[in-house]
Amino acid sequence: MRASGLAADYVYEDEVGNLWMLAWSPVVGLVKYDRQAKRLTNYPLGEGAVGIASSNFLADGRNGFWVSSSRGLCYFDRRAERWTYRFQHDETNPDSLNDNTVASVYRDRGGLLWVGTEDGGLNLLNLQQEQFGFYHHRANDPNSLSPGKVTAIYEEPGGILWIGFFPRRLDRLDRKTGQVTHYVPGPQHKNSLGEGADLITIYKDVHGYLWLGGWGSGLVRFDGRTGQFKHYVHKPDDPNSYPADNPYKIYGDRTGQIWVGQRYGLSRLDPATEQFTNYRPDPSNPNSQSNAVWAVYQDHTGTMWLGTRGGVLSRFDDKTKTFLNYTPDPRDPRRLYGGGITSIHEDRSGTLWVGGWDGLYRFNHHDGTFTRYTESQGLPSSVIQGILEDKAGRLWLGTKKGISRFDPKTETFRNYDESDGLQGDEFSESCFFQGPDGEMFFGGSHGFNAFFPEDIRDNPYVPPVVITSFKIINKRVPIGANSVLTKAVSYVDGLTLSYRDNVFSLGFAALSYANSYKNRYRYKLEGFDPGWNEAGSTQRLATYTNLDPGRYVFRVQGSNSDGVWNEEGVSLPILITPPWWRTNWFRALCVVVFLALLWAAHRLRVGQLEAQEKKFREAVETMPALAFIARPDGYRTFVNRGWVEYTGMTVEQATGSGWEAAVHPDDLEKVMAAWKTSAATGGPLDYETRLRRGADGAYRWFHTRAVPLRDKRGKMVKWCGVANDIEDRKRAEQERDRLRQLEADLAHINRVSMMGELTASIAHEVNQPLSGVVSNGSACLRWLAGEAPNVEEAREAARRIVRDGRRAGDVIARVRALAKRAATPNEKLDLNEVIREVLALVADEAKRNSVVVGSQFATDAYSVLGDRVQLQQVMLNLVMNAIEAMSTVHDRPRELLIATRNLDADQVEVTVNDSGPGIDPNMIDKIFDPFFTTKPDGMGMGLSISRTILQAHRGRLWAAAKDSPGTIVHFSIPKYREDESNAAA
Amino acid sequence: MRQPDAIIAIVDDDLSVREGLESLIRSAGWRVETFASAQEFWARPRTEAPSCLILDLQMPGLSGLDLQRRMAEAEVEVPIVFLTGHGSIPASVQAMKAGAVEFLTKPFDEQDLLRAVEEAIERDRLARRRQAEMHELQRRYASLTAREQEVMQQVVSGLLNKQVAAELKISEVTVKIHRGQVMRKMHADSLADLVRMADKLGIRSGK
Repeated sequence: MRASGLAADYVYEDEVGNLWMLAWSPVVGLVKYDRQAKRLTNYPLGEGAVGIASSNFLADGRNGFWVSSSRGLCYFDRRAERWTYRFQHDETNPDSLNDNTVASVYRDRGGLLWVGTEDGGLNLLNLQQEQFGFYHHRANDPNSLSPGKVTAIYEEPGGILWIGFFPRRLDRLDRKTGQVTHYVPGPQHKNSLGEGADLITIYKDVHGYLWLGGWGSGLVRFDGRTGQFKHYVHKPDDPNSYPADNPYKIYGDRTGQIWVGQRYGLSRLDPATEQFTNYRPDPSNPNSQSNAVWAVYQDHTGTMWLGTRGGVLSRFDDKTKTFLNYTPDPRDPRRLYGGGITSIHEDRSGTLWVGGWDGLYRFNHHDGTFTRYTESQGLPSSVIQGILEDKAGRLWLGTKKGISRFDPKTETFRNYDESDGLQGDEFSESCFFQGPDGEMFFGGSHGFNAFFPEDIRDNPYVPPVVITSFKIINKRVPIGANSVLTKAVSYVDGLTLSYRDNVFSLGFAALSYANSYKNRYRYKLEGFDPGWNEAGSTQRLATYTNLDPGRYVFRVQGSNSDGVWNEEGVSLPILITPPWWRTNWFRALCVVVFLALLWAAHRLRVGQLEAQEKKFREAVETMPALAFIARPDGYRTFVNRGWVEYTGMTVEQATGSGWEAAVHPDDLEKVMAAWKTSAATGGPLDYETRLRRGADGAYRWFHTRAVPLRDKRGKMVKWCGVANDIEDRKRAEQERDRLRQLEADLAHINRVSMMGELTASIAHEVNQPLSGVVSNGSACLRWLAGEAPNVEEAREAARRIVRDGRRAGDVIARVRALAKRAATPNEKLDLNEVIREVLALVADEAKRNSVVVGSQFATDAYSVLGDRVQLQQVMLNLVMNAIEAMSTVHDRPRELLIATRNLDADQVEVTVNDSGPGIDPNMIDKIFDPFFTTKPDGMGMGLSISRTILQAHRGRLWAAAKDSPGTIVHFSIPKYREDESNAAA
Repeated sequence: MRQPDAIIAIVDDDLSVREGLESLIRSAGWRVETFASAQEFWARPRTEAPSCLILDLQMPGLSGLDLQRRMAEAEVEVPIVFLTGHGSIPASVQAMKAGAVEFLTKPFDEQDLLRAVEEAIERDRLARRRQAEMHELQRRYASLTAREQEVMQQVVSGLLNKQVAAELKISEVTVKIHRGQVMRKMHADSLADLVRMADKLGIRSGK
């Protein structure tokens, strides 16, 4: 049959042989050709001039076609033989198609639709997200929901949905027609919904009245037949009136009675009289939050259960009108925790579940305890907003973070969030409803979801896993003939790496693009990792460093966003080749080389031994010392060439005891004695003697040492000895002794000369106590004279005479000690005390120079080991220098500060701090040089000697400039140690 | 002549000297106060000025000579006996010039010291008496009216009543009346007496 004017260039044959074409003339849409009936059927896409952007269409593999058009992406259901969906651009919805002109559509292995548009780029459609039906507000669309947060949902049989909102609104949605009726708040009137914050509870009674409640309003009854509202308000004088402004929950029990949970408890409405009977769960405390009933539920036995704002679960006994309260206690894990209760549900097994702010609770009827589930057990949020049950006995929980499906048998949670097509993450308190056919409704911030739980399936798509990148030391490896990669890493069968390339990274991906950020991964390197490494979608990179050479297999597995794993994954064998020095052939080579070396060494040794004797003889003959061999009795059997040349004797002359002629006659006796002693004891010989030089007859000092050689039995066989010329060393020693003496003399001169400088002061120091002695003496005599001698005063005066006399004696003793020439022994010294004595000597000198002397002695200063006189000399030098330096100062106080402190655990430091003119920084190191002086009549030895003294004490002396005028001279000296004193002694 | 109630102050930084001196001076029957430094002495409560100050020449901080200068500036008249350990001549000259009673070198002779102290006390007694007289004169002079003071100044400078009257542009009779009042208030027996008082008060102009 010829179809006139049919323009189509793609034909699809379905399973029964029908042919399908996309036509743009004469109709725009699908055309079916029934081959059996030989009949064409047109399915126009829409009204008006609609162009089809692509001549192609896509069979979805089931019973439909995806058709791209200039008015969006359309879906045709072949069984229903009609267009069922159309995805179009929606200004207000960023998740809608970007552009209505769809150019192409492609379905990937994961079932995602990739939609190419003319101006809106590539769009991805995840139909998985469509399994949660989503109803929400659309701007400028009167048949969409009211704006605001959905706070209540009720479905009446027949597909009419009632939806309450914050801010207060009521919507009636006819799901068959899609028509929405909006009721807005207004003054309390029979034609108005009334004022209030929101609408949080809706119930339709058996008489066809719709009951509404919310914050800040009374109870409202709406008659849909007449469109009239009736408002029940609280009348203070009527105990049977409605008691509160906040109906939290309107609940119809199985007998058709209406219960209202409100601010002050539970109210029961008698429909006949329209009177309320009010009950309080906590009658003893009318204002307790335990009375604010949020949740009302009737179990299969007809028992009423209440959940309150105060976290109390109450069992209401309808016969006695009393409550049995299960009160919270956060410290007891088997009781309720305390947050408000939003929902109560009894499952098909008769278990009661309670949802609240602190988690989901299972009520254990037999002992009245609760088992609590929180985020720790896998809930997305511990705040439970609603509980519903599906036909499989699983609980669906609305929470603050999405919806969670809980399987009480396995106690596991499966969590859904916005990316799964939910209205948003946050669901409203107690805003849930289950229709008679099992459809579930949960409302929240952006609308509500309606779904059949059995339709909610995990994305079954097992994603392929691929290795996407390969990097060595964080650098992408180029692909090429000379590279490790001869083709893209996704396609290679294995990798061979050198031991140098053993820092490498492998990137990988699971090819599932539906919520790909929720894809999960696990990888391991067999031969290295003991187990799987888990990774999220942001860590799609495995890095390995410093692997030993060897064979490995890298394996990755990935899952889609719903946790369906590709268990097979992908694997990549990796071989790391060893470095050449770890290869077997190299090891073998090493063995060969070692053996060759061994043989060469043996040959060498034999040759060496042959040469050795000759060499030794030469060595002995030519060594720069006088060598000899003697019998045990001292009879010389051999002298070397050195001996012969030095003494000028012949070998024959020196043999036997002839050598004695070369010894200085004064030393001969000593030498003989040494030989005799050693011959007797067998101990080594060691003596110094002068030997005559044959050339000029001069005597030089030699150090002779000889050791006995013994046979196996220990019997002495002979002596081997050498004599070394130590003339130069001997002289140096003498020189050093002379210098040391000179230094001591100089130090003494320095001390004495300082004594000279101090004469006047010392005289004063003696004179002061003497003055006291004289005065006291005179006074003493006076007190004793006369008729009534005052003995007490006289005794005091005499006591002072003794004291002052001693004081004068002390001064003199100090001066004598300093002036003495003899060395004093090192001893344990209190440095503070040593300095105090010096300060006593110079006190008057300081006074006469108007210098104020201060001291800061560390009370815990360590003791030191030293020569008292020498250290005092150092102090004296430093203090006198400071006083002298300050003599030119007239415009500021002349201040001298002496301080001691522990420098560290081993050192004590003394500082002498003056306010003099200071030292030129360029000169600061020169001041310790001998003969350096700034004084016209100074010798320039004081500081030099002081430094020498301190060096002998293993201390240090140095000077530093100050910020303020003046100089600080420091010296440090090691702390006294017990072991040292013993060594010194 | 000994004044048992006289107070002798000793300022010396050396304990031996200070205590020796104190005992010695107390044994001579005087009261003694001791101070270890010039500052300490200067800072003492000003109840009663001592009759004699025994002062060490060299002390750290404020020296003896410094203290002497400072006392002179403050017009505190206390006779000073200086002690020194060194006996430097320039210092002793300076001290004596500034009115020291004596300058003793340590160790000093007991008799020298006590004699010096006695002399100092005597000087002090005289000075105190002179000061008392002066106070009396100043009190009397202050009791004169302004006009009477003018008249007294003119009279003691040797002017006749007539000249005074012309100078002050008042009548001679009035001058006479003022002059009589001046003589009476000043307790002057004669013109010469009045002139001597004016000298002491330092109010005679050099005309």
